[in-house]
Amino acid sequence: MEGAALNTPPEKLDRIVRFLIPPAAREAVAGDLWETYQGPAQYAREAFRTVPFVVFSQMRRHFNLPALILQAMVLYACLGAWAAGVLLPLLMVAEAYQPASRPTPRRAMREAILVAFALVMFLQMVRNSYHGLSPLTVNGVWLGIGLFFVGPCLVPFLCLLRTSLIVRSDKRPTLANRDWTAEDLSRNRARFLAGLRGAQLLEAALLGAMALVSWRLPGLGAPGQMLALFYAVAALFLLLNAPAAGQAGDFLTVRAGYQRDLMRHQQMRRFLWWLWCAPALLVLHANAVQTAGSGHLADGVLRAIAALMLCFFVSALNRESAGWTQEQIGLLNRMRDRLA
Amino acid sequence: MTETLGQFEQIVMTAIVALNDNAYGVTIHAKVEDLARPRKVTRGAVYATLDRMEDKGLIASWMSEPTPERGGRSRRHYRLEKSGLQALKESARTARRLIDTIAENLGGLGWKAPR
Repeated sequence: MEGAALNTPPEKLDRIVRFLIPPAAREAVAGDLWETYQGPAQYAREAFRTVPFVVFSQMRRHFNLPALILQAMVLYACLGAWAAGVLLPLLMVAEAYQPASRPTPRRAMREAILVAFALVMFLQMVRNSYHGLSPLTVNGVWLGIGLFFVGPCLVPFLCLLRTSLIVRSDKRPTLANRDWTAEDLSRNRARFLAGLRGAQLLEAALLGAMALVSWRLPGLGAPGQMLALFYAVAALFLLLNAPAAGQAGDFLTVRAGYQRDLMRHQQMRRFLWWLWCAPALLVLHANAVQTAGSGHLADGVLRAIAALMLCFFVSALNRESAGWTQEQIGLLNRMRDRLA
Repeated sequence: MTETLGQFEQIVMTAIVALNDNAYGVTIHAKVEDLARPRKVTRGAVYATLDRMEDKGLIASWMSEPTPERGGRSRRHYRLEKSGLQALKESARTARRLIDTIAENLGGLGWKAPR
């Protein structure tokens, strides 16, 4: 018993190593490190050599160039080159550490409350700096009253928004059974791909329409035309890459194909959701700067908050969807061939 | 069209073929180190290659049941897919042609094909 205890990594060290390994690879990699444990120094050295490769591999797996370009464009337009340069690598690392499941309702609520709290702090900061610059004016009074009411309303609103996303994800069908045959799996995959094909063609048509609208959207200028180009390319890509029926094969082959389909779909969705909200973000940001610059600070601040809330909504949507996809991939990983 | 494999990919795939049902991170790394002698190979490089080949559809993976000797964690097992097997066979044919050509030309100089 004592020998067994000596042959396991120290708990704290193991916890640190597990924390550093991206969740998608955590179980297998941490298990392999545990299996080859010879001592704390060897364990730490092996982890130190292994983890960077795993992180880079996960970054490559989740690397989504169109989504990254779009995020860079929005960050550059809204916050400038420095912020885009700092935030983009962080976003890439964050993608590698994408959780292997959907966030729990409690965690989701905590995040919503934190975001609301951060927004209220942001409002207060703006208000204080405004009052510091000039005496209380009529606009300033309205700003104070507006902020007083907006702040407390944000928490329930964001929680409600987050709850609706959780409920939506709960209603999505999951791969519940553990024991399937290759035919069962093939049928399920074919259903998934058929649904995807229909939705993709519809979205391609909508993106084509949006390309026309963005081209003519007033006040966006060059970013608007870039967006129109994005929409047109995305529509064309969706049209040309409508998913074909999955290839038949044995259980493992069908399962691996199904997992790749799920992952590809998730990558595509992440880009498309940001693409759909990009015009709103750019318009809100342009208006916020314009109105704040012309002395209507309250309007400007409220628009900035709307933009931040939109970002919160899209990231929450992505987290739910990525979590659902990872859960399905995990379920497929553990699925057994009923006939084997 | 058959996928072209890099040298390290060929080694990792050969290790998977050799290990058959027992191909998972630890055993694949050990086999790869053996095949790639005298080159040292980090386990992380093996994981990265396995991920890349899985994304290309050359290999497939699945999780086993958790085991106590791994702290209650599962193993990720690997096996070659049909396209992976084709690519490996094609690489082996190319390697065979190389060995034959070298043996043909350097054979007279006392060169022996590696075993």
